[in-house]
Amino acid sequence: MRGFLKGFAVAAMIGAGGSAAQAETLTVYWNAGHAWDAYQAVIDKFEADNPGWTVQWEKFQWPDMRTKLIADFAVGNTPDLSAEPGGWVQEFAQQGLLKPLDEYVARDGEAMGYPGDWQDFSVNRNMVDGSYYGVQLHLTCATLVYNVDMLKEAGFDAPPKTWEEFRQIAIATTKPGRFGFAPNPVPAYYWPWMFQAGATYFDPEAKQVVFDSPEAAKGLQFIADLIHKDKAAPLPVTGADYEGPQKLFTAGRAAMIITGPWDVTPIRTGNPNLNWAIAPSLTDTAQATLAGGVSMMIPAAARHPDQAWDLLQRFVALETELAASVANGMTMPRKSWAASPEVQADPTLNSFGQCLPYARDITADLRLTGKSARVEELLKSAVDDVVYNNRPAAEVLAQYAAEANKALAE
Amino acid sequence: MLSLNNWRTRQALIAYGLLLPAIAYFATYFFYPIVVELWASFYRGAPLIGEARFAGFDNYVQAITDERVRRALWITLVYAVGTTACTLVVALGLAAILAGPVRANNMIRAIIFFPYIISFVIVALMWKSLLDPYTGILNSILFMFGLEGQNWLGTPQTALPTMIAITVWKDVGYAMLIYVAAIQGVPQTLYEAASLDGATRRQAFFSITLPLLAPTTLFLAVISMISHLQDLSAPYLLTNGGPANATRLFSLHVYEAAFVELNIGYASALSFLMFIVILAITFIQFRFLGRKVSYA
Amino acid sequence: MSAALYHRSLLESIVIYTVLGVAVLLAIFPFLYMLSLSLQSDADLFSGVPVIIPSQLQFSNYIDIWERAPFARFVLNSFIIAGGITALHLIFDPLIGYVFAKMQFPGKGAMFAAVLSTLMLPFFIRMIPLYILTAEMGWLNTYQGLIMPFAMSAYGIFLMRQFILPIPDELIEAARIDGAGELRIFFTVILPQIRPALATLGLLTFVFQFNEFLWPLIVVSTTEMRPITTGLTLFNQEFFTAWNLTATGGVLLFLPSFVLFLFTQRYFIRSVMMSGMK
Repeated sequence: MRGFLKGFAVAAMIGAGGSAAQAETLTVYWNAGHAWDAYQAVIDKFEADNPGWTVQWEKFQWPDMRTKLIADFAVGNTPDLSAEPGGWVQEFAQQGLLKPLDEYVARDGEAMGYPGDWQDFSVNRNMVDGSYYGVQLHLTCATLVYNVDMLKEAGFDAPPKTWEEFRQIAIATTKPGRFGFAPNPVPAYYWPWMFQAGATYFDPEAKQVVFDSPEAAKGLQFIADLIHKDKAAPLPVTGADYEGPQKLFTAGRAAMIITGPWDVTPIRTGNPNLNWAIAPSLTDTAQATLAGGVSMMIPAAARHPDQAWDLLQRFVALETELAASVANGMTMPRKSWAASPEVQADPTLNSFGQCLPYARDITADLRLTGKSARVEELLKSAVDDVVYNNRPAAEVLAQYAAEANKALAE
Repeated sequence: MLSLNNWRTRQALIAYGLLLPAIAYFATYFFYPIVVELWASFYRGAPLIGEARFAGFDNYVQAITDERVRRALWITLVYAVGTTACTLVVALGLAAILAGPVRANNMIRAIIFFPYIISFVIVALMWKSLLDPYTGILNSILFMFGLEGQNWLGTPQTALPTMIAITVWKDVGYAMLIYVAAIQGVPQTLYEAASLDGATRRQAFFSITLPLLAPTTLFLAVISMISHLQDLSAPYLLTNGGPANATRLFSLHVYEAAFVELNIGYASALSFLMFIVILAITFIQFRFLGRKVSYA
Repeated sequence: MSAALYHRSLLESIVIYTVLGVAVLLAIFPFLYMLSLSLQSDADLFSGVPVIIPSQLQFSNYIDIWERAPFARFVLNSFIIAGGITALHLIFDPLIGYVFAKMQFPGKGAMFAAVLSTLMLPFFIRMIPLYILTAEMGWLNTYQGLIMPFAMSAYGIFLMRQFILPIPDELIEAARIDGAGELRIFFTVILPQIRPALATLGLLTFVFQFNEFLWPLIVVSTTEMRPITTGLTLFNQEFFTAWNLTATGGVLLFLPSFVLFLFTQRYFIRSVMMSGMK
């Protein structure tokens, strides 16, 4: 039966002229929002340096890319190199789906400055059991972004530094049709508050989540109260997209949001006249915020891993990082990038760059349990329950943490 | 007698021959993948893709005892029944008008039907921008009339009804056309008799038209329920299951178990649970609404 | 209900036309709004208040989308895929429907039930095994790989069977006595009788396949093979959607269905209505 179909397939392919894969094609998956000129230039250069090679640069939205990759893994028809939004490296590596990069790093690490020139946690979050499986491409952190004019109008010349100042400003800038602060529906955005209150997500020693601490409850409750008691923030707009707060901010209908470098371009193009600025993250008991960003990985089934590694190195070269970051407002993982005069001279990049040292990867340790997706989903339910249903944070977090620990103990 | 038997055998053989492409097709593209998934449902982890171990009925036990699964099933049922009921009522109302003499009848039918053939990607795109609580047009209009806008898709209480409304908006034209045809198929003589008996038009509608529409209603209810019990696009594209899981339909739950949590074995078990539920509900519909449509 | 029997009062007319007016407006407004979005500039889009009539018509969005991706190729792919699937449906669904409606053979009920049962599982559940199968056939990134998994449908077969059932058996018997084979009966006796049903099947299949997203997403591996649905996702940024460009793409995605519908709507509406009477 299948033989028959196979025969038919061959016949049909010959009939249709076929689409036989060229032997020398390097397939690369990328986020559609990151198809920047600087990266196109890297690809052009790679093709020029390697005659006969073509780079098949395929762009997707993250959830679509994930679905496609999972199907690809099932048949071993993977790209040679793929970007990922953070977390997939460890997850897929644990499933044995990625190629360890240790040999490459041993050979080329010194010349390219890996891992020495990368911000430390950006290296760790791409490792499993002491092996390298991914290399950080973009390193981002989210911090407070504010509308300078709205704060002035309400009598504040400087952005808030503490929670209390933040709350006062949020209340003072709230007017009909306008909010002091626009929160995001994605749970990750509640972590800056929980971190600042002194909470942590996961205890790697005990292999348990600890987001049922009073500190975590305090952070989450603070935002819930801002929405429900102070009425200084709207309920976040649901959906898988992150753009709600940015849209309100760009439209001049929110005085403050928490966001990262990815929103720089939309704000600038959306409303060129907006007078806005970036502030350091707030401090309650600690100054902290969340870190994230894109990494690159080479699947175990890649047909041309050597060429993929070559291209990967070119994507993270300092000149490429600088070209990509200055044009698009993206922050990068190299320490030498942060120290470069170009970055120092760019107020936007510099402001976000300054948050990197105290930014934290929320789930790095949790991901090594292989159950982070399940736990993340429970945390999302908990956050939703507090934010949308206005239930007490302490009670809800305790309930969901218990459930998460049950799943982790399984 | 022998020749009749011969003829029967011959016809059966021809029938099987003609069915061969269909047998090949359904075996290859439906039953083979389903068997593979059935096999996967007995494994923990990511069978077919990565690491997995045999776990017997563990996945099924987990599925049945998981409170979130029950909640997702309940929400799905509310969504499917709500969508089906509203679609049928609105469609019947419009059909009752459009089956009679109305100006620009064809054009009106065509316009109301049009959303039915449009991709849900576009439907979601349009409605999300219309319903945006802060920049959307609906709340601006409400504001103009002094009414308070809602965070339609963003509040647990309104999200599911809003999603139902959008699906009804898309589906109603199809059901309406089918109803128009059915109403026009009711023999005139029945109305004439009723009219002689002094029945008003409303009475005639409820006592004559409605009962005769039962088979049509069953047909529409069955296809609507089957398709909305497994609806993925509406929650995936409109709300991603939120807020607070208020629109987390069963399909989305399964899809996320497979493609977000990489829990392929569990997702497979969930899908068979879903198959059984849809089968049971279809069966119940036939039992309750009567076997008036020739179906098998 | 015939006009001769019942006459409407003025009030009734007002109510009826108001209801219809609201229904038509509701059905059409979202599309008009999308059209408006697709012509808006970024400034309108981010002005913070909804804009219905763009301050200036920015047709450049359409040029933009054409330049930023091989959009013409996406359109072509969509037509090849949806067209191929529709053609297969028009061949197989009525034939199988005929066998189930008019021929007698052991196991008929069970087989028909098996076909209908395939309606009760969502597509994405079969997706990974199907993908493995398609890869084994060497059909990844090919039109046949995109078309074959949708070559027939239980719904189409059911619909065709419903239409063929009421065709009088005498017609078929007469042809059999004349010595016609089953295939010949199918082509000369059955098919001419069910032309409106074929039109419904063809149009509905085409527009639904035109909208398919998940399967092309995973089977296609080069940009040139993408249909419009997955091609459109190239216009979203990482964490925000360029609404005006996406709306432009949306207009381009629904345009073929719209044009097709515009030209066939009379036939379409009539045949959909007929399918309901069975």
